[in-house]
Amino acid sequence: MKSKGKPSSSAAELRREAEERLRKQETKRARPGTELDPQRLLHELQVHQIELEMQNEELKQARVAVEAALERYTDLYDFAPVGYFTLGRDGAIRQANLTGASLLGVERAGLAKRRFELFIAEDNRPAFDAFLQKVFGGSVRESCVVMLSKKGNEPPVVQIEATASPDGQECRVAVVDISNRKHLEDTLRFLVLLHFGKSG
Amino acid sequence: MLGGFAHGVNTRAPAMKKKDISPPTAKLRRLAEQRLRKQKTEAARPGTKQDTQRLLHELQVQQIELEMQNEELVAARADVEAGLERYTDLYDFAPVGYFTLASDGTIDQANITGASLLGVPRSKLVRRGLGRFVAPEESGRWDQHFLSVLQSAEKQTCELTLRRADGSTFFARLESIRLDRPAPAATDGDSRAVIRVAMSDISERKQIDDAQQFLLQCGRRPTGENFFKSLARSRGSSTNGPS
Repeated sequence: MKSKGKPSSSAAELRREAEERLRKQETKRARPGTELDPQRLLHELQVHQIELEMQNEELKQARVAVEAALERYTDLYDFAPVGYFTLGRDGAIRQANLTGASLLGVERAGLAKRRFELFIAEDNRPAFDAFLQKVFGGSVRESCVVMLSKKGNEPPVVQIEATASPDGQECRVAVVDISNRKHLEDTLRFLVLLHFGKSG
Repeated sequence: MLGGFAHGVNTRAPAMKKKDISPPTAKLRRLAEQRLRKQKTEAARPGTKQDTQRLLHELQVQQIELEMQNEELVAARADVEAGLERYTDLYDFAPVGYFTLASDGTIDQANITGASLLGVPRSKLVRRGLGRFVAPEESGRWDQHFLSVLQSAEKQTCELTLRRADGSTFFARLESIRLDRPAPAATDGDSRAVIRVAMSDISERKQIDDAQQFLLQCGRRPTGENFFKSLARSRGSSTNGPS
């Protein structure tokens, strides 16, 4: 897998390298008394060539399919209805989706490695720290409500839901802006259902 | 020399981990022989020994080219697959439920968190209407929410009671947005509306925080009406309890 990560070589380069490899193979195998019938050899080579071509086609098709799937999931991630972050144990942002970056009011590129805490209102940070500790302490799913430190007249109030990764090295955080909740109305409806829902 | 390409094939074979790409098997070989027969009848001409030598060399070079290309393709695919795996995992095990709905409200795709919130195996969610999981008393609110999602380009929010498959209920917050995305088999840039819904269970917080707030509000009410009386009243005429 020498070529891993390298962009596709140009045709001329490919040809040159192929000639090189062939020379190496030939010197390695240059043992007397092993000469084969050229006709049979030719046939073998031709068959193998077509095998390779078919494999090549298959690989190209598979790549197109996998790339399409990746595009779909990247889109689901980036344009999710909620902000989505991956944080390390130290609280540094490892990955963020576009919704999350815009919720924090920062370009995504400017988020990498910064501590998520910096985007939370100062007096809410101890609560967030305690929350992160609970998350990394092995709790299944935790949630908390904090105020962001975004500059402007009304910093958004967000609900944060987090789960730790199986290896406990990072956690996934969904952030939802709940500033506009219609508190009383929702509360009332919920309590009514809680008390009378079963009989109604 | 035969050992040469056999060797080439074998070293590549272990890299072909995924099932969708077959390593050079007997079947592939048979197909290749078939193609070769066709090619030969098309270009059948007797050649000199020199020609054969040149042809042999040409073929060997081409083959190594192909092998190298294949290696590159396998490596590139491995990269893309690793990326796909990461994003699929981020999707499936997000801290919130995540649904994609068609414009008729049926579920096209759901993540694992979403399926477990609703208490239904994911395979049973596809093509079902998400509205079926809304508590019957609140189906009107769901319809209203869904309609506003369809009509607006902005994200819409709704908090309502959902009913799991086993009949238990939970209070959920939905964040829904409509997006235009290419239709599945679009060739001419056709797009269609898809609705993405993030769902979180907020029952616990509701019960603690909001009950407090509600009681506070009740206490402040000038009429001094008691808690359960106002609950009953807010339920309207359908309440049969003592008044």
